[in-house]
Order: sequence, then C-alpha cells, then structure tokens
Amino acid sequence: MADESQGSGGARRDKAEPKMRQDTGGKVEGGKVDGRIQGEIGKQLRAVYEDVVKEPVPDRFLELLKKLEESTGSKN
Amino acid sequence: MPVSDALRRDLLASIPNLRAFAVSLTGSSERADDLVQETLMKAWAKFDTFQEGTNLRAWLFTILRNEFYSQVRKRGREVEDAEGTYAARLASQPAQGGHMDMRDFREALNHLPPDQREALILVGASGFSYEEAAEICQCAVGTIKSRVSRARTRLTDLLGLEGESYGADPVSTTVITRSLT
Repeated sequence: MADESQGSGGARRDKAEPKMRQDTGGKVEGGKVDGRIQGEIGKQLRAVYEDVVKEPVPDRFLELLKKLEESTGSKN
Repeated sequence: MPVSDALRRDLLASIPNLRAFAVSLTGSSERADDLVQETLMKAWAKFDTFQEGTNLRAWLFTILRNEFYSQVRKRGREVEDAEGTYAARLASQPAQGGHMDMRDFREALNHLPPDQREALILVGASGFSYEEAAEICQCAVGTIKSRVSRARTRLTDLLGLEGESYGADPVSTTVITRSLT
C-alpha cells in the first residue's frame, strides 16, 4: 500500500504498515505515549467523532419521541 | 410518568452524541441508529428511575452501552462478521500522502479491543471524566485509565507514530506542531 515513489516518507510508512505490530519499542516509555502523539490522537479521535455529532438528527428519532410522548400522555 | 419539557429537550440534545458513541461501538451507522432507537425507548420507559439534575448524558450512555453488549451476546457471530466487513472495507481504501489520514485512523481505531476503544472514545471524544466513564462502563476508575493508556499505545503502534518516522515527515510535523500551539 505504501507508495515507494514517495521517497523517505513512503519508505517509513511502509515500515509502519503491518496491521498488528506487537512491539512497543521507540515512542513509548513505561507504557505511556508522549504528549505530542497523544495530542494528535486526541485530535483525530474528536474529528472522527464530531463527523457523526454534526449530522442532523434523523427524522426517525423525532418521530419516535413524538410517539413516545403520545403514548405516555394516553397512559396517564 | 409524564416527562418534563426540560428532560425531553435534553434527551433530544443528547441524540447526536449517542449516535456518535453508537457508531464507535457498532462500526456501522445503520446499526448505530437502531441502537440509539432502542436506547431512547428504554430510557423513556424508565425515566422514573432517573433523578432530574443528575447527569442525563452519562445515564443515557450507560443504557446504550448495556443495550449494545446485550445485543452482542445475543448475536455473537453475526456482530463479528459485521465488524470484519467494516475493517476490510476500510483497509481497501488507500491512504493518501505520508501524514496520518483520517481513514488510517478509523481503521486503527477499529482494530482496538472494544473495551479500550470505548474507554478512549468516552474520555477522549465524548468529553466524560475518568470517573464518569468508569460509571458508564461499570468498572473502576483505574481500569478506565489503564484502558485509555493502552489504547493510545496501541494506536501509536498501529499507526506507526513512533518518534523517528513521526518527526521525519515534514508535513505532519508542521501540522502537528501547529495543532498543539
């Protein structure tokens, strides 16, 4: 998947490509990820999450709440 | 029991967050919305057990999470297949450029063990405290902390973010440095 023509950046990506790397050498000290990387992970995480949060609430939920309200009203 | 207008409004306002959490659990927007629907019905049915003024969002997230795991137990294999398909679909998308791509990130997220992924999402994206996340997942605060930490370590591995390659890419270095200052 890594593009060889990309030069050094591509080659390094290639190194990082395997899905399930088990070794934790390098960036990790005592099992903790350094602050810079942690910040980047947090940023991506929020971006992925906000993608969904930003979507308008589907009509089915508005209809559902309406229905629930009606049923509660008739019961009480 | 009648539901107050304020509660109804808060419930409605919680839906976008519930959907985002549900997507992170199920890996599919269709299943996520079914899960949210189930959650809203359950919540409505037992609103009398909710103390107004306490954390509605955490209460709803707890219901959603419980519903999800009870579905997983019921469906078993079927859920696994759905996740496999999702992972395969993501894996077939080519990464662009040398920096961390959102698609790469989603895929890596999908490879985390579910308990680590949900802890990371709750704390890192939903904005819950470690204490609230522990309440939602019905476990100790220390357990949440360790899951979040392991999730970050795992993502760092999966995405190849370790020091050397990370710093060597001028584009992502710039982006990251800027985002942190």
